[in-house]
Amino acid sequence: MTQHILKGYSNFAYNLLKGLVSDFSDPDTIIKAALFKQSYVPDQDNDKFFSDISSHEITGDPVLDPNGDYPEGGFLLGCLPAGASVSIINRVTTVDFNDGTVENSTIGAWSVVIYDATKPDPDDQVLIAYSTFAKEMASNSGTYKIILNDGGLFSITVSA
Amino acid sequence: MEKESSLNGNGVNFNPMPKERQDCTIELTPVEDFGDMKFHDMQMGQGNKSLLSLRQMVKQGRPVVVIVLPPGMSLEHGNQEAFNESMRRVAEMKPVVMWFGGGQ
Repeated sequence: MTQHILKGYSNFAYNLLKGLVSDFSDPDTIIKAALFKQSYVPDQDNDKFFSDISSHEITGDPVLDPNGDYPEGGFLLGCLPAGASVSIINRVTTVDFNDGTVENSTIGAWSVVIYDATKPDPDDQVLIAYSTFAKEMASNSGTYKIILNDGGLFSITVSA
Repeated sequence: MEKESSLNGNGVNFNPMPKERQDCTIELTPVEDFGDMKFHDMQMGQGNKSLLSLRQMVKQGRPVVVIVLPPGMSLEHGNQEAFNESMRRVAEMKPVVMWFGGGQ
């Protein structure tokens, strides 16, 4: 299976240190993976909040799959149980979330964006990371799944 | 009565062939470029105050010796005897000697 490399948005660390990002270990925190059309070209330095990019988000096909199409705002990834979404071992802090799945879907996308969807206003929903695809990633009446590999979403290493 | 052709589309509904089910899985690898957290070096010791004193001593004609110690090493300087012993230990380690200044 092709692995898609995530890149971080430049302002994520800035917004994190300003206190604008939710507690990733809190089970009430909502982390989502949203899918985007080919029209969305990620601007790593200037895309900061979901409202900056939401106009390019895909929609599911309500005709073919009215009950299982793409959920607006994206897949819910969700925090790991017992606060395990944030862990630290040997000066390495790792952040990880659950995979996201939509059944019986007919959707296609050219990129995925991971963001903090906890706050209700898209102007306050901080963008975390993104990945663009070499070709459209599509499903047809099938399962659409977004998974984070064993390395998690990202890690921060403090030098000795 | 002319029979309706079964091929003219009237009264005949051709159901579209169902497309094959297609799943899609996107596996994401971790962000590579959040990078390391770096803390800038902190100024220890006397800082600017020491530099000022050094400059004054040199102006007064006194040579200034700065000893850079390797990690874990310290020097005793509480009294003349302890200081002399420390200097002897430093000399035994054959330190690299660098100097600047002087001249006319």
